[in-house]
Amino acid sequence: MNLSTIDLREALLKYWPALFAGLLTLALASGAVWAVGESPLAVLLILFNSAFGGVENFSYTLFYATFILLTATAVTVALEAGLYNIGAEGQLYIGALFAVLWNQAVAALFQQQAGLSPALSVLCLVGGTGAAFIGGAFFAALAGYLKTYRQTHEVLSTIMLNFIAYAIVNWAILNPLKNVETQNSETVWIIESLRIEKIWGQASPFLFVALIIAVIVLGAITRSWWGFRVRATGQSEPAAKLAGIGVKKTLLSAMALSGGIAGLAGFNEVYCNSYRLIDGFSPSYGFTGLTVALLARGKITGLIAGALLFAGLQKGALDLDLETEYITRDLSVVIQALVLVGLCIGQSLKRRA
Amino acid sequence: MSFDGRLRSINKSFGLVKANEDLNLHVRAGTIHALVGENGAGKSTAMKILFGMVKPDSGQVIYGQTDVTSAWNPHKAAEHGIGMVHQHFMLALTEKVHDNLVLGFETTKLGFRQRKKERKALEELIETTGLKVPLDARVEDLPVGLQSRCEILKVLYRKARFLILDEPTAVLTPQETEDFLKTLHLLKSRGNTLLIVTHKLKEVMKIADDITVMRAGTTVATRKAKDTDVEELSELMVGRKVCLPRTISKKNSATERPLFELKTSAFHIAIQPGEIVGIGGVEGNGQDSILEALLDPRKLEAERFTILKENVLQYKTAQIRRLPLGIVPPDRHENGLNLSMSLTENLRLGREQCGRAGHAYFGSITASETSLLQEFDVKPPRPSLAASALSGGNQQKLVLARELGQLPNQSVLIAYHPTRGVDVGSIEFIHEKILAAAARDSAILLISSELDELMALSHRIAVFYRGTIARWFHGPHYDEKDIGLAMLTGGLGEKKEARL
Amino acid sequence: MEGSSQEGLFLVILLSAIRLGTPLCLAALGGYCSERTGTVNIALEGMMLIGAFSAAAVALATQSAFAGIAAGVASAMLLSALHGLLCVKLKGEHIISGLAVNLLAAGLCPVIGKAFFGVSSGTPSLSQNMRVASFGGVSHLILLCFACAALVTLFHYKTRLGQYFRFAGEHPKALLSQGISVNKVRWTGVLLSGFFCGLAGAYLSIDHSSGFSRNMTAGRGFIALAALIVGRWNPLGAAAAAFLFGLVEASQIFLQGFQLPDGTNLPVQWIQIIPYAATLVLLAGFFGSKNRRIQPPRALGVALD
Repeated sequence: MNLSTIDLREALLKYWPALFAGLLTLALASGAVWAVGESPLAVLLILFNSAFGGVENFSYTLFYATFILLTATAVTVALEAGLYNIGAEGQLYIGALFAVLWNQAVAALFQQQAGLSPALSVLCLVGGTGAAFIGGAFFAALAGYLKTYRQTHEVLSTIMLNFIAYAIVNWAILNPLKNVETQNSETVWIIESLRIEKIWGQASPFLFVALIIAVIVLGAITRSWWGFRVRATGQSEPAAKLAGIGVKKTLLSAMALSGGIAGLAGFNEVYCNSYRLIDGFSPSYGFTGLTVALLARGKITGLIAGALLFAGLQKGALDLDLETEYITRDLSVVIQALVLVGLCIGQSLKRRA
Repeated sequence: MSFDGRLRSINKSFGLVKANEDLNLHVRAGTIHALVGENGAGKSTAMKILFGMVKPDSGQVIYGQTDVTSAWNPHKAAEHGIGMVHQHFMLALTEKVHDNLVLGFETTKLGFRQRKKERKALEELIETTGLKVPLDARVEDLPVGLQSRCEILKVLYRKARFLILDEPTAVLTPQETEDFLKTLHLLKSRGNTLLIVTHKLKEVMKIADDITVMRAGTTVATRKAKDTDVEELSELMVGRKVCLPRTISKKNSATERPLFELKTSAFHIAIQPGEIVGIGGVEGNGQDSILEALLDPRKLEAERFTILKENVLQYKTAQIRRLPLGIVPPDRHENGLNLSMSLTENLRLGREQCGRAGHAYFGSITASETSLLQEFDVKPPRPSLAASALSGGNQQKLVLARELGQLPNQSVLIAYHPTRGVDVGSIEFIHEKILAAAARDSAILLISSELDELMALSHRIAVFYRGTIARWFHGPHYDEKDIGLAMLTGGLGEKKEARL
Repeated sequence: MEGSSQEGLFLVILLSAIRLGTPLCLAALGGYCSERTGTVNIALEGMMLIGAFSAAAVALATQSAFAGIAAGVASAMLLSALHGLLCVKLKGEHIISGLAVNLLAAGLCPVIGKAFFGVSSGTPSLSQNMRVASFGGVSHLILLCFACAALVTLFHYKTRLGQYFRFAGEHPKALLSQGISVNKVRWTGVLLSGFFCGLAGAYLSIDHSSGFSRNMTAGRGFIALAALIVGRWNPLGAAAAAFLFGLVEASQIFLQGFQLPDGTNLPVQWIQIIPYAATLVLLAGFFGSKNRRIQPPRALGVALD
């Protein structure tokens, strides 16, 4: 009896920051919604219904969740190494760009053939995943290099690299990769045999890949020597150095893996969703992933639940934009901000308890 | 105008930890009063309460005839003429001595500093006290002795008549300490009251008029210095008699090849199996270069560097840590432990290579880790607890469990300050462990600022001075004064050759 | 003819360097106040953004540039108070708090904009009388910026509070041991950072441009932070670095007509990259020598227990 209450208290304390963040956000966001002249309850209903009501809606949520789970896993890896990877957004764009470039290479190589054999398609898709991974990894490793060898804070470098990524992608879309048949800023379509079809409404099979990656990566962090090195470095660099851990190598590897996983989100967009690269396709998946990663703090259940929740928010906010007069989709950004505020407060309250 | 200082039935707890319990202290005006006690006896908390940095849960703080308990803070204390010199200096390293001295008591006009007026007052103060410091230098460029002088000046600049000094000699050399004690006498002769907190009983006997002993958060006795001796005081401190381990017999094994040898242009250290070599010296005189050599031998311009017959000159840290070698670093908080990791994970730091050879990493707690915690008496021995939850002494034992507990026979141990911040009971235990390792034919390098410890354990002692070994001393009998002199000046008289 | 046109171009670039450097300089001064007292501030961006939005919105509503500036400053200080609450009062993680503030600003501007003006992409255009007046061709805010840089420098070296600022970031316990409230000093610093970022934001929306547009700060808050670092956390250094970054941004004008060997113009995206790439390069200290590493205040981001 006594033991179970202690367990309950410990469990409560453990999840308290996230819980507190949720409650505070609910209260404040309701206030904000009420202030602009909408009914909080109605808005909440719209949000919930649009995110989780019905197959079509829920499949959309799963679609967003795929991206967010990937970016959140990416950010988590860096976070465990003590680095704030704010550049997942840029890394996923570079990943998408590399994915398109891979398609161009494949297309050039097999231009005579009408379609690729299934085996070859699978091979090319694996190559595409690799290309996207390498693109993102390279871009993140730049920030990692600047951090380890040039003492440049990763928050600043990744933010700067985000802007650089946007510009590079924008240039590539409008120049070498431009789709001349349309006025929109988007690249040519990828070849048909490489398009991965959706399996359930809007949800793509890549969701399973994302899940597997999340499980493996988080498992590796807690249960492998590499993960041990990453965490040791992230929590105390001097202690890691004394223990003979190659701190620079570890940080670089964590950052590169982080960027690579973010790059995979770009692959998901190009090969599983729009089959081309559209400028500005990401409603800041990178930053949403950051919020989820901060909330989950390295717990796989937290990552999955957070990805679903924020995917639902993403989807719901789009419908809010349409269905209410005064509320824009940017409400989801405000809500994310409030969650982070709540998280901050919750953590400090936990420390006092 | 001197005045008494009193604490009356003070109680103070931090969370569940009782720091002070029914504590009473009476410092007579115009005397030097020493407060002695083990680490963790609650001395620092008592001082902070006296100075208003910590509020007591109950009890009274009284100066002269006034009860100042309510709304007491450092600023008010300073206005009352009470000053405090902290154990960790309250000096900003990148700022000038001048700015550090006047902090909080700047001379201003409409918020703007009147540096010239401040300078004049400071120079007068230096003139009258004879405590010379370079006012325009940055604190980080000064040696520790001068920094402690800055702290005293800082207090005097605030016109303090009642000085509280928290372990002021902890980082000083014997000779610097001598100077410092003279300064204290001078201050007393000018009518100041001094309360000095320390655990160095010999100093206390030299200068104090009254001595109060603290144990477990409360005062156990107050004695006049002339009525007591070191033996009685240490018994009061610990609650039982203590004896430092006897010097072990000199090992005659010069013919064997050394297990550890490091030869640079500045020094040469070679340690035989079963030998304990002590390294003394004022902190910052190059002792840390041994640790740096271990962390990255390639950066060091060494002529010879062998550990267990392997030439490690071109090794990376990871390769070095693959050897049967224990390293107890000088600062357990900085790099000895990863405070946010669990006890077991801390035991694994630097043990990866051994693990890789034996078993894969699964994150689970092994039986050997649990028994290691028990063997080294780490309390509480809960393997999943974060290292930050342990007390300082237990953290040190955790480091030792990792670095010393898993060493095979004939290995090497490099231990910096192995007993720093550890209570007396544990010191004995740690010394036994080190002696046991030596008995198993390990080579041990012991770097410590505690001369007593070095003299009790080492076969030989090398004194570092300005980056090189100034002198070697050979046991089993040492002359404390000679060693102290070597620490400060690099040694006078004939320079003994290092035994190779 | 050739010479005078080159001189003209030089003058144009110099003037626009000052114009573009002003918001960076103001924000960098804000960063100085916050970081030198020990609070990491990546929230400069968000505070600037909300300042820009409120300034434009209030200037539109009241027809007064002054009211706009006041509103910009007030709103940015409100956000800085949130940052102070999370970092100083509650001792939360400074980076997370900064992210929260940035996201809050990025989300609130369009949400409020939609509620007020019906569009989330920005405010309607401001007419000339609602924008900041100029004195001899130089806007009042630019003059104010120069004055601020000078005043903050004076403050840093010559005043008692300036001394407290330095100690709060370097060795807060030294302040505490003198009975000075470190938290008060830190609060002052954080709130001042809001003040300066509000000015910077107002400058962007009602001086440099004629209205607020979505995400108009475009990373300037972070560049200002970089300027602070390059300027080694000193007010004068930070201001100088800010104008250097302004010069880099202004060089874009010169490069816009730049022809590549094949006769086409330099792509606009490449030109857009320049400020960010330059920031990275300067930060990484490619121009500095290796051993002169930049040392942040020792207690930066360290809560006082």
